[in-house]
Amino acid sequence: MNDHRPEGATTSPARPQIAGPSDEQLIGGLAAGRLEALETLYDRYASMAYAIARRVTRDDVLAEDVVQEAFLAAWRSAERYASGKGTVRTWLLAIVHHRAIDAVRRRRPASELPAEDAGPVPAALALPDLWGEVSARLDRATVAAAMAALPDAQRETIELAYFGGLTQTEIAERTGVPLGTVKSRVRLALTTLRRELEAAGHGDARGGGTT
Amino acid sequence: MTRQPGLDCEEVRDLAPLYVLGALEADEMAAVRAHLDGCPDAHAEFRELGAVAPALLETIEPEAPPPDLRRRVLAAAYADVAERRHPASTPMARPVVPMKRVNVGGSEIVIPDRDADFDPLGGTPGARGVDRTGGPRRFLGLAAALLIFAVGAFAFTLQQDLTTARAYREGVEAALRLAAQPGSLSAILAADGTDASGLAVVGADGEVLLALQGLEGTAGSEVYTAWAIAGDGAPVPIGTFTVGSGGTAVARAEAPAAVTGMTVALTLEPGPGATTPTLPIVAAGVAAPPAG
Repeated sequence: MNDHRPEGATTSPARPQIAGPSDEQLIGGLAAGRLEALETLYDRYASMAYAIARRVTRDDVLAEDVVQEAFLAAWRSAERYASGKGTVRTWLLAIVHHRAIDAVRRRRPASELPAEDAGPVPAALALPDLWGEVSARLDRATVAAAMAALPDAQRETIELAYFGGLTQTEIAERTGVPLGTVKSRVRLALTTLRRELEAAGHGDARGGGTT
Repeated sequence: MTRQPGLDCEEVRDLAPLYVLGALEADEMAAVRAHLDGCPDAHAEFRELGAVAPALLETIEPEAPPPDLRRRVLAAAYADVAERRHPASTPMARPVVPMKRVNVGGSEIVIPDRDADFDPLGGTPGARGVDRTGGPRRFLGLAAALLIFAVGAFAFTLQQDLTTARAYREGVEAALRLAAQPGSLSAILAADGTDASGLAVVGADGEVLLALQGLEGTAGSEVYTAWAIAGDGAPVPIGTFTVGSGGTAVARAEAPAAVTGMTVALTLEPGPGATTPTLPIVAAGVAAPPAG
């Protein structure tokens, strides 16, 4: 695809990646049923996966189940991973996120289950977008700053949806605003975030650590 | 809330921000997906807004999961291959037992051929498990059976269902202990066209221990029935058992006697008390003393 550092090199600053197979090579290993490839992939992303699962489920035990389900889903469907549709990291973490939302909704009896059966990731979330590659290289501080800069109502709406697993209807009920307002807050927030992150991602001099 | 299934482009554009965050109701998610699948418009807004979502995950501080989770994930993945749920699983993931056609009690059945050479470990992911079974040398005559069921037991120990795994492994171990007793006979049970395989050991006093895997679960009053068929004699029911969703069975039965060359066969019967086997044979094998 491109000549950037191997995927995974960008994941956690706390644990720099040592040389080894690329993420794409690991996915090939998963598809071939090689456990050691899964082992390596797990070691690269389990911390991120677990943190996402915990953030969404707010339940340590459920979070473990989500991580296990997600890695197993990757294990079984690795052959369906297409490199043109984003990095392995984005693909894997999207599976984790999706499973976590699933788990949260399953826990809420009043809510319908998401009708997700075919693939672990909704197709449109996995569409190729070069900007997505840029966003995947953004560091935590940059994204956190962009989030913090959003108006409170917009940020809250995004968090309820993406990390809380609430549907637009549930968000409207929770926050006491009409559906149309929920919709426009989400649109504004995403548009703003994209603009901000794009600027940060492309501004080499600024890097991610602007203070 | 529900919508009509057919959304137009404008409606879909309107829902895009919520869609990329997964914040629509299930039916709306499906309706959007259906539209995208068939729409000539590229709907670039999904890519543009959708790319923001993974970036949001970057705000989360990584956090090491409990160390035990790693083992569980790998064990579950291993079991996937052993149980052929992984797409790369090959038929070799389970030992292939050579079969032969024999005439038993007037009807022809296909049973494992103990005289044929085979490599029970060829390409088997559980091959490492064999190390765990380095038993006394007098097991050698049963080497094939030992290897197969050590592999089977090893695969099961890695499954999530530890209770089933333990029961099966203990069943195999008990059968192998009985097989080591003087006068005991053992049979590898298998059949063409089923995934069922197992081990039957007949003690000198007629006690039969069965350990089987790959069985269909029983429903209602259904029972698996084990039959002993000595020479040209009629099949004699020697025990029944039920099987849960795990597909394994550990059972004890009582044969009239241990007769070398007797066939142990398994059928699925509509209820207990069958006096003649209902075909097809689920698995069968000829009981013989350890060779050599």
